[in-house]
Amino acid sequence: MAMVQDKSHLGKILAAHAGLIAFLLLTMFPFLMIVSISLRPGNFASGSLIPDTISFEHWKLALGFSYTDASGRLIAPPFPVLHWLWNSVKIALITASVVLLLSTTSAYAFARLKFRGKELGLSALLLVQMFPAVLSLIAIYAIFDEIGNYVPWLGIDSHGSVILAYAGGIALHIWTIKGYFDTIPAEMEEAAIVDGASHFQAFWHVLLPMALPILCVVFLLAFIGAIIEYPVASILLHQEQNLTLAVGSKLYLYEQNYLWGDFAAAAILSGLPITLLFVVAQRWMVNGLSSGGVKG
Amino acid sequence: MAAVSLKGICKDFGTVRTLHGIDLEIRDGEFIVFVGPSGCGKSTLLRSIAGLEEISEGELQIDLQRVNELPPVKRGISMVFQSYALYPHMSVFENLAFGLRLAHKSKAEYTPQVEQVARVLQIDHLLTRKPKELSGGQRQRVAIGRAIVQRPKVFLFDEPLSNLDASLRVQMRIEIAKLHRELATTMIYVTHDQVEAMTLADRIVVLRAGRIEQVGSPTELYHRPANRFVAGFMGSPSMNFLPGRIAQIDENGIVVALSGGARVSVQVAPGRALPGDEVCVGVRPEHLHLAAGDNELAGEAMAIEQLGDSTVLYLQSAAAAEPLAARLPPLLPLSHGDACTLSFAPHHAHLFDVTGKAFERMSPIPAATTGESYSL
Repeated sequence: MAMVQDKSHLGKILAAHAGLIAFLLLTMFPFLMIVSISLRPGNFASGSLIPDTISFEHWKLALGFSYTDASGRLIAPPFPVLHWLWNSVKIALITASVVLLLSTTSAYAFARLKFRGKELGLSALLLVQMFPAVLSLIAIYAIFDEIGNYVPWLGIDSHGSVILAYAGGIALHIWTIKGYFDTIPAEMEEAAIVDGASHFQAFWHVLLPMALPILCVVFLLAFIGAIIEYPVASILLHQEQNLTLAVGSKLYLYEQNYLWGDFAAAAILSGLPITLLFVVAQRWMVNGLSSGGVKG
Repeated sequence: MAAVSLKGICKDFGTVRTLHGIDLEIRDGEFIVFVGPSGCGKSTLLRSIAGLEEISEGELQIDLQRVNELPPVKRGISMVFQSYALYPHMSVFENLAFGLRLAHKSKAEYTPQVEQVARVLQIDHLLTRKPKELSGGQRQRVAIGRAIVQRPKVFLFDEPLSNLDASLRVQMRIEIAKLHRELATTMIYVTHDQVEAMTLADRIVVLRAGRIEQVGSPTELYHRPANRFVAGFMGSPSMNFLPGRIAQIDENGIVVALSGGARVSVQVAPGRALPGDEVCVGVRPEHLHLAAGDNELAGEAMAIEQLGDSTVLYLQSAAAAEPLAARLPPLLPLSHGDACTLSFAPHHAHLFDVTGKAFERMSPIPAATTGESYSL
């Protein structure tokens, strides 16, 4: 909307742009640093942002290739980085799907059904979620240790355990989706029910398609959360082959030898699936899917 | 096609009772309109018939079968919602076919059915569009089409025209009337618009606070309102009420001494009324004339509305606390503050006792279109 503005407005626009660009640089800086470190020969955390010489040694290692250093020594990749990346993506995709399944159905119940303790349940969910997961690490470890005695694929050092632990964190997603469901008039589902749909069919054929944008957002958030999560994964996963990229990357940083360059390359790799998924999901996150159904 | 029978229908929301025992017999093929002020329970009653609300007490029968426990689709009803409630992610065709698809009909089976309904409603050129690409009137047609395609025994309409602008509303009103003639299906229609009620209904049900005040044809309700509420609800501007006491009872009716001092006579059967009883005279605006006559009411013009086809005069008079409204011939040279005298014929007046119940009027309902009120 182009409104008629005062002349002094131009100054404000320039100031706002300057401020925004400065803020953007500030947030971009750490990322650029990591890119710079991953392209710098040797393993140094400090140095100029634009490296003097560019070397792909860290990237070769991260992608599983050996490389020969300046002294002619053949250096083999120390860790299965691509395997970790695959572990991360697998866990994140399954987690996001499970989270989406649980949170949409719970949100439907909270948004549409009438039952006793609804308000209390909603608040309780939020309160429980506020308790930091890190503080319950020991409990989580003990629980999965015990579960592992009965169901091995959900025990310690299994991906199932990590997914199950992550799937517990859906309270905020329930709130998000419930908020969206609340904006969709109940008449939509009533119309479907009059047309002969069951409650589930009304949910599936009418409500879910209309809520697609928010479902994409929640899927993405759950995916990102699972990719970058460290504390829970670090106590549940032990063997090198089982680690996620977030946990595995930590192995580059041991007391005597900080392999900053290799770490940086692995860190950027872990961002790739998130970016990719975002690009794919973006086309579904359009607004206005629900417009036109009711008066307006 | 089916008759609908309501026997002592009650509806409770928690501890609050919103419908207090509704008894109503709706005949096969009848067009019934529920009217009443906001919160009178008309929409709740419709939703109870639809099966969107559970009935707390009483029995609902459609086509002689008890349907209290049946879900909407098994009751053989279909409903048009106030907000249209079209499925925004589906095309018009898919919207119309949704119910048939749920009933496990094959595409080959329902396609001709959908196309035929679309032709009837003149939306066949819109079948591939999404609801957001349609105008308000077109959306309304799709919503009606979605109901028709189900071939229900009873149609339910919940204020279907209230989102349309005035000219479109008139057009859709005529089309709904035409649809009823063609389909000859029982229709139950909820509205707060009395013009819609008067023009569409075979019978009108006036509701107030969860109770039926009166059931009757539009003419009956207009000429023989059962009580003061119905009298005041039907007609626009609404009926004028003049409080007073019975002064005299004779063979021509009752003479009332108004609290403003004037005496007016009203042609009603006295029943068990006695002189001295508190009563209320009711006169419709279209029955007040600007002339000296039998029953005169003097006052000062407070506001004049020129409506083109008529003039509405609001008269501040001693006879009533509220200004009296009178529908007069067009282009009267009246202005604010003028002293005026209005009169009305005794056979045009209504009389209500202290509980609001109407006295029986002596004059019969006038024969169709004598054009009495517009003879000037």
